[in-house]
Amino acid sequence: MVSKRCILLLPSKTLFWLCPIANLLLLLILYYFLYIGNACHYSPYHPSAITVGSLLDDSGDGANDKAPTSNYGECIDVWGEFSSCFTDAYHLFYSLTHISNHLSYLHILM
Amino acid sequence: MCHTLTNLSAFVSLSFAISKTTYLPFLLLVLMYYPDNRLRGPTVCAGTSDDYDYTNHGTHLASIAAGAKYGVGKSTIIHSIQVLDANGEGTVASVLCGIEKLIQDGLDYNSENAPRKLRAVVNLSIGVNGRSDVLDKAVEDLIELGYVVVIAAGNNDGE
Repeated sequence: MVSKRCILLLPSKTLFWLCPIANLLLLLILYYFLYIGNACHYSPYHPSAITVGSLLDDSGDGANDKAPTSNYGECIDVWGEFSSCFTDAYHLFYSLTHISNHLSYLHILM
Repeated sequence: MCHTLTNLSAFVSLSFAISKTTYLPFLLLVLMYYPDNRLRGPTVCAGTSDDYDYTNHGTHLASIAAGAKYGVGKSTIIHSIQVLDANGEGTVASVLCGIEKLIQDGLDYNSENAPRKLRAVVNLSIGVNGRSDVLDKAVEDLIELGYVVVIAAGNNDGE
């Protein structure tokens, strides 16, 4: 009966004390894969707002991979590349990832 | 309880941009009062001693939107509202302050009583570690007032 409390299948009842730990581990793994980085779980958010993710397109192959740190998920409305933004303030390619998500949507909008 | 904004994002300002091409009537109205200056504000809500953009992120975004040489909308009016401090950090309260001031300043331009229906773009390049109901409600209020709200998806993946 004890083993039924376990989400993970453990080999024997002698390991039943591992169940909470195993369950917690499983939840943490699920949390990591389902929550971290999913744009639906971060504010500010509103379905009627335009949520923009960023694409990494510096490989030259047109693959348009997601930028490494960019959030993802069904809550993102549009994607735009972040690289090669040439501006009056910075005449060099501004490559820091911490701004990567937020440069492209003004191109899209305006 | 304050939600700490992610410092990875290093976001500085909440910019209030009006597209010349889309919202020309409003632009003309503004130009009557600001004939030689396309920058309005800045309004400061970050609790800082000055309005200098220490991390340059807001300036960078504003340059993309409205830079005189490389900007997408070269005649765009920018209303800059600084909501994060010199380290690119702040609270939901400071962002709410910025949104409130934006609504106060911009309500006349978005009012149903305006000569024409006028709309503006609100750029929210900020991120919170998790959800904040009050911040989401503030965004909803902006949308109900007729603003087009653009939100960065965030940079939390891989943390």
